[in-house]
Amino acid sequence: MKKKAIVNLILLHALFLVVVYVFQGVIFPYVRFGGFVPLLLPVAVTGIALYEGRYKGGLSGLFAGIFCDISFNQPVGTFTVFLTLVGLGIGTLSDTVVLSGFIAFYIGSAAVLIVSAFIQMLPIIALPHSIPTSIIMGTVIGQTVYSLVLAFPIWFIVRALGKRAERITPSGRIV
Amino acid sequence: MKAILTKRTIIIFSTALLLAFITIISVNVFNSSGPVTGFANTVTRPVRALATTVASAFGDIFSAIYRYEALEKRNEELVARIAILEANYRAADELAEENNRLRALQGFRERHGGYEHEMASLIGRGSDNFSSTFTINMGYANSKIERGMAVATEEGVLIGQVHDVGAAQSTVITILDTKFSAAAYVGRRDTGDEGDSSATVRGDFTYMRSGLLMLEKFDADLIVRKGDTVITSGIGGVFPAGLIVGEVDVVSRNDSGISRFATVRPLLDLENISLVFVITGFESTEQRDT
Repeated sequence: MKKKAIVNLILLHALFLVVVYVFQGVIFPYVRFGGFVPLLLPVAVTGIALYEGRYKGGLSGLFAGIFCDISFNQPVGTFTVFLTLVGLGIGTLSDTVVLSGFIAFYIGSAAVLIVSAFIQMLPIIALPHSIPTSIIMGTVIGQTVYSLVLAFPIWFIVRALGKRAERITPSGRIV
Repeated sequence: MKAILTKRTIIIFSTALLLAFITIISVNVFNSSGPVTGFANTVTRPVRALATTVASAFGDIFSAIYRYEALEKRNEELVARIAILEANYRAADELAEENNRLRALQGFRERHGGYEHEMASLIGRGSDNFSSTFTINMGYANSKIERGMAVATEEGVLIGQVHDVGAAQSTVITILDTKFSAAAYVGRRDTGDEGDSSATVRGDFTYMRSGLLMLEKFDADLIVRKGDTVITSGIGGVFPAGLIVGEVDVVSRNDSGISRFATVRPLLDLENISLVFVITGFESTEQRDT
């Protein structure tokens, strides 16, 4: 019975990440708001890591990172490593010092989104043409704010997943 | 510290590093996005294709609502333009001459009928706000597509360049992307001919979200006006000559005031393209000249 519940839990997490990927990588590029596409996968990883610890956070980060890279139409690598680190890092903080909750989720998401935006802008900064800082910062702020608005529904889902996981595997071990 | 760096933590992080390492080797040694990216793209392709179909239809509706004001403004501009055209119509000879010249500029299909091309469908758009890309359903396994090839529409309007080739899909950077750059010339000049004055047209981050790109490095004595056509010159052999990039929007001087640049508006709405042609072979300007 418990084994079945664990399998269902893994499937639920996988389904959640796929749905977030579809929204970030497929739907929102067609329905841009203010010209921006929100970053949802880093928010999802932050939430899972915060509520379920470093192992599930790290694994979710690994898969979300792969999804994130392919949603950017770039080779798998940069965000795969970054989001794995995010999952492990925030998960470790959650396991040790930080209490999981709405405020921690939002602050964590904002921090991860800002770092994500800086990683995204690295190829632009490396260009020989000078680009006004205001233009770059405008994009960083626009993307981050839009993503944080959509982080709200994600919070409800990761919290529900976290509670479900807690009921089944209080130790955090799913495999 | 020992409690943090457990065996599982190390395994998870090492897996991420290994995947990134495989990709780095593939990109730098084999000039391909690699097996990991290929596998991830293949696995997600059915979901992506299905969702793209739904999102595309939904996006058209959203786009119409969201851009209502812009469309209204554009409509006003077009009405004003029609009035100007009606006035010009009276000067029939002048218009006929102008028409012939534009026909000559745009008649590249007859002039460059020797293009070899592969038709491809757009299957997804990039979600990165710092780049402008899309994916097409052709790769090295089912076509002759290679990195660097030009991507155009049936009418010969340049819309991008192949950036990364996978097994069954490829990534295309659009002409708005900061990595895009092409040798070009301004089609309409006082002399009426195509001219030998070359310029560079490139994607610029400052204008990317406005849907514009930049024309620069053109002669100081070249007259560039709003509405002029920007066409690839074929210099360098990367792009075939004669592909239309767009129309000049605004001509400005740079901060130093020494040189000029112009913003260029693509002829097509890049958000509403579903079918493209990858130019896999063409006679370069240098080959034609010799």
